Amino acid sequence: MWVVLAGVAGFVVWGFVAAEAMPRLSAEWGTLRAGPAAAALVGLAGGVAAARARSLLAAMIAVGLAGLVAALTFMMNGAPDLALTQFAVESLLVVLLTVVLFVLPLRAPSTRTGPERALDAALASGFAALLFVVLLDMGAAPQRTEVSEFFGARSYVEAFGRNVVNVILVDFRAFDTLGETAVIALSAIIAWSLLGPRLAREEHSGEPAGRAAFILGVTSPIFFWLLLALSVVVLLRGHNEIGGGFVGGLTAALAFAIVSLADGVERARARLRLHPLSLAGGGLLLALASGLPGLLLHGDFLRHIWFEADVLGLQLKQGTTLLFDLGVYTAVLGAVLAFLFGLRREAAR
Amino acid sequence: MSVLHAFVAAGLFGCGLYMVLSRHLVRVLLGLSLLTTAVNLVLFQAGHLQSVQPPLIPAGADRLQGSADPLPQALVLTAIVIGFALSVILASLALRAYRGHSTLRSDEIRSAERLGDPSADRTTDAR
Repeated sequence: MWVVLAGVAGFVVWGFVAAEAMPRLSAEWGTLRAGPAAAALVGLAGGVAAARARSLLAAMIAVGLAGLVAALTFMMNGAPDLALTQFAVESLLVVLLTVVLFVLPLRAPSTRTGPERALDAALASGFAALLFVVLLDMGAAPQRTEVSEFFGARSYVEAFGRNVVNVILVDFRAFDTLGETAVIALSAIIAWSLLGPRLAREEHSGEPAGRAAFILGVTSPIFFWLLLALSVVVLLRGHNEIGGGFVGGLTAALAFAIVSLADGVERARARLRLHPLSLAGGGLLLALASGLPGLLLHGDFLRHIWFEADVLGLQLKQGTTLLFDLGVYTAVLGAVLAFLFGLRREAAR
Repeated sequence: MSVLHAFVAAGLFGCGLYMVLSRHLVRVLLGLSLLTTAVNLVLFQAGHLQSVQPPLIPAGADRLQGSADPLPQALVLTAIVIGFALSVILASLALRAYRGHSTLRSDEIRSAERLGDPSADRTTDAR
């Protein structure tokens, strides 16, 4: 196995040399900023800690640390939408994985022998080294910004949006986002079919109906309505400021997650009043439907139509992009709630 | 600075890959989560990290000037959500595996092997 590994590594290096495509190193190195550099190194330490952890809880915490550092990296490099999404995803991942870890044994001794571990470490290091070389080369390549400049120049003039990332997702590349929304809705179906339906007979067994802890029990209704209102605000402002359908959906899911932590899954489902799969499917349907006006009027699916109205002296301008974003919001909310309710009910058996 | 970000992303990728090679299902799950985080960082670095200004067109202007690259950010945004969905699906699979087999080690789950060779001729007991 080691011979094969060494042979492959040698072949890769020979390939670089023979094709005369030696990786370039960028001439200027950029200024080293202490904050992002320290954060990045802490993230790497988190990754190494996760790989070496003997307990699953420690590994989960370390992976969450790496994710939070990724969120900080996004925030410190001019990507606030990404930072919000990553923070929300890390919070939800902690909530969902903790539910799973209630059921599974936390002690996880290594399943590989010493030599197997050494081989796996060499394999992983080889791939990581290759990726590092590729990234260095990518950083040294001349930056092609024609497409980004196209979007930056037309985002406000043609698509009436100031948040260029959101306009790309919802308007220029809306069809890609539609596909991704379909993936999210399908993952909700997968999670529900893996975890949900077989519990119909055991509807009332399992989780006690009492509240988890006093402070959480008292403050959870406040947080629920606050987070729900915040998620709607984030959705509505997404076109011109930081926000959008994805972050809004994740924030609304966090609202329900807090209620499920404090009062249990049944109360959270009662607050929802709809089946999570209805939400996920309805969101996908709404996103699809928002592209139909463009199809009927212009012959282009997902070409967004804008309405201007003068209501009581206020200039209102809204388009089908809001319907599309609302569809994405609902689909993400439905999917995350399908995960949450399914996992908690499965864990309570 | 970009060298440091490249090093960290590659390092996280290596750690995630090492965990995915484990035989314990939850380690595989956590390694996959680490892998998706690392790959999102890699995609983000395609924008060359030159500016810290968010890609928002300011109030008076009508085009972007000197901000971060919006296109890799749009790609990573959906990648984050889909990576999260993938991790949760794998967690539910691990939970079902534990319920069904009482073990989380992939080398102890052998129920598919007991069914025999799927390409063998089954005309004799097609029921």
